[in-house]
Amino acid sequence: MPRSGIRGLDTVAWGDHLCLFYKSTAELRQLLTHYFQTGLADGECCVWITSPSLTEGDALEALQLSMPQIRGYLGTGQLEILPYTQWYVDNGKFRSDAILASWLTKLHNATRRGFAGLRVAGDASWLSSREQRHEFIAYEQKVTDAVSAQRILALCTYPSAGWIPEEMLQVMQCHGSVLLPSSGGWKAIDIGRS
Amino acid sequence: MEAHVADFIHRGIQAGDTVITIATKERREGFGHYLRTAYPDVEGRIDVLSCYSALDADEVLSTFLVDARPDRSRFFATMDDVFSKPAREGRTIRVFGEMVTRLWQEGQPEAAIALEEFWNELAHRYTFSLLCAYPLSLFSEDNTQRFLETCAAHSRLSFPLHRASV
Repeated sequence: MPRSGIRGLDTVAWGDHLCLFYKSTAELRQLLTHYFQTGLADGECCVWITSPSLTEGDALEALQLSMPQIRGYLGTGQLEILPYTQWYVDNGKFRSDAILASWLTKLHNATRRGFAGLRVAGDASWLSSREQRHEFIAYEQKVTDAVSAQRILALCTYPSAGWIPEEMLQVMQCHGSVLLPSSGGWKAIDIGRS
Repeated sequence: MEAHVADFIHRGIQAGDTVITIATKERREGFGHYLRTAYPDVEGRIDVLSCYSALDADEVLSTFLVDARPDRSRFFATMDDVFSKPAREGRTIRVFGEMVTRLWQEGQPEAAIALEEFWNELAHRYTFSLLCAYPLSLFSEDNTQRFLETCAAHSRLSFPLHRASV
């Protein structure tokens, strides 16, 4: 089982599709830095999709502070840091099936190159309208179904500000687990359906 | 929501567990009605079953609230009265609790979160499963952190299909 790199949560499982709501950019930066550091150290291929709340430059700077050799990982392709505009949006359109296929291609390439698996994180702070959010939530459900049997670990991060509880529930529902703050760290809570 | 809770109660009764509901009168009557309708096998039995206790949420709350805040030692004294007998008998205990919801409804979020923590502490003393249910209307855009804290106080979250309201 892969180590999570998330305080309070020692291990996770391949196929996990996790979500969390963060309070601040500082919290997000710290969490994702440890998450990706762990994946890189453990020989996983890592893809960090950034958004306006924590940009590509911010992400690289945060990783570089704790891993001076970070550019080496970028050079070998073990790490990619991409802005959401290069991943989620194509000519101004959000095409969920194409994105999903791209994730599976990334996994295929990572496996072929001998990496232990694919560790990814995507941030949702770029979603501005209610329609965009609904479309993204539908995509998240597809991701849950598609990755559950794959050597992919996916963490989706959402800013808690601006989301109403009903939308938060919808986000939680379409993931297998939600990470919630607990004793200075995080704990994973399974989502069931009645 | 009543269907979900009624199913929780019914499964407990079927398994021979001790089932305790701590809910409003209206809600308890709703569960009873739903159980009798959906599960005819419990008809006529639910009120006389020694393993089923239906307690009033406000009455139980009044035993341990001090200045509108749950008092830890009073809470444990009350719960010891409720849990000790079935625990001594080695019975599996399942509880549906609505006291936290009542505190939310009365505009006491800090008290509600404190009570959640007491319940979690009680789980170190007794083995039981606790089901809580919250109307989504308790939480607004202004208190999403409270909503997340409430979620975090539980070990599992469950939502009705196609509708997020619990």
